[in-house]
Amino acid sequence: MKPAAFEYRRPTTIAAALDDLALDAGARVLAGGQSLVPLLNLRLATPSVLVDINRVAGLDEIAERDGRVHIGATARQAVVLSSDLVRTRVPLVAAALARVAHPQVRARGTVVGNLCHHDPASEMPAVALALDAEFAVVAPDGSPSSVPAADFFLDSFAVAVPAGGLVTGVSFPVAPPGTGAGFYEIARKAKDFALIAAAAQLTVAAGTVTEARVAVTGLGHRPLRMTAAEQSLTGGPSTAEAVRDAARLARGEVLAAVNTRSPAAYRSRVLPVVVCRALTSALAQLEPTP
Amino acid sequence: MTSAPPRPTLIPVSLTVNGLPVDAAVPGRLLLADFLRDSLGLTGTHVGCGHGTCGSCTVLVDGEAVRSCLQFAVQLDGCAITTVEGVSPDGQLTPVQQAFQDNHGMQCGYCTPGLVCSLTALLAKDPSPTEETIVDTLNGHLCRCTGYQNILKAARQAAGRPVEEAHG
Repeated sequence: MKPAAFEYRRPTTIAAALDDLALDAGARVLAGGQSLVPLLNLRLATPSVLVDINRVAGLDEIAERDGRVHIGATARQAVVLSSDLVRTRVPLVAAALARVAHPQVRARGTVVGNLCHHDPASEMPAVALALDAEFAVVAPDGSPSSVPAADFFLDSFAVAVPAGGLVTGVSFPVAPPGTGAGFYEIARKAKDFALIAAAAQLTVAAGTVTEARVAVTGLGHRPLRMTAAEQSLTGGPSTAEAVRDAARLARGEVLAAVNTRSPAAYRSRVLPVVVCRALTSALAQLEPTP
Repeated sequence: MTSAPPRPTLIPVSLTVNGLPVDAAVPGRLLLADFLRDSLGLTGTHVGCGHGTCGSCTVLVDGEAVRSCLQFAVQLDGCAITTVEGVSPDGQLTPVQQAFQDNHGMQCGYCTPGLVCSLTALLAKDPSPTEETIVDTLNGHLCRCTGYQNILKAARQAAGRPVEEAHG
């Protein structure tokens, strides 16, 4: 399997990358390449220009600013996963990332590339939605904007980035004190794409849930926020019973076409279970370890 | 009469392969796996699926195990590559290779070079990995002969762990 010919560009600045992306409507961005290169090898994608952003200075940052952890477009999944900053400040990101692909793929794959590829069975979009991630998008004319996760994921393999634009990073809010994070996934085999997965984060003060965040991937063409479950938990006690009651409220349209390996009826059935297990895992993190 | 297709643009790359400097001019679309096998004759790197699923083509790039079918040669400008031919510079079996021999960690052997590279990278970073870390690493490889148990035993031996699984 050989990719079709393309023009290879390797800019070192964002401005040069935008110039290269403007060369042709068929230009695509190459970051880690762990989703894109398979598509090229199978000739499911035949871009005319490939803009390799791996040597654009500064895009590999993992840094905390203004109450958020910023992850640049070329920060490798393996580096993000092993980052103490990520593990301690945005633990849900680390919990989910451990379920993404294999170490050999995470060594090159990027968090931002994974989110921009937006496979509907991918884990990280649920995390981005649950945490109200913000995407740093640069338009073709160089003007920057911030796109919230709720507006970013449009459809399977489609995100809100204008043609010729570039996503330079994503940021997640730092978890408040007293926060537990949980991620639970059902997959056919280890590190495979999720059939269904839930990302949950609970913040608790004096036994009361002050903030609950839950989102699920694998139901339809976009990750879904479980707002009824979140509302049921917020303001209530941080107990296993409250979590079970909340999980029963998990709802969402389940589309058969999204995943031919897993019937919609199955995913509907296990949805509350998956949400319950993610929340339970989040709750367990909050309990003092013996 | 049709005209010949345009000659591809060649891009210069300088990299190190198994400790030796390599200068080449490559088309952008040339995959690292094909560069190693076809341009350099290093056929120890095996291509299985060609789209990142099987792990057979795994090599070390700057010490990290990566899929060589998911990298373009042109991207490796300035990098150091180690293939299975280069894991043992002195020609002796490394502890990983010896463990594969001792435990018969292969059947047809097609997936073996990738596994050797992955475990070499793992043990260089973490000489005493946990069982979970070993399994996590092996998960990135398919053995179509399903010879996984002996591969796992080989990996445990190389990591200095008991070869047989502890029960109970």
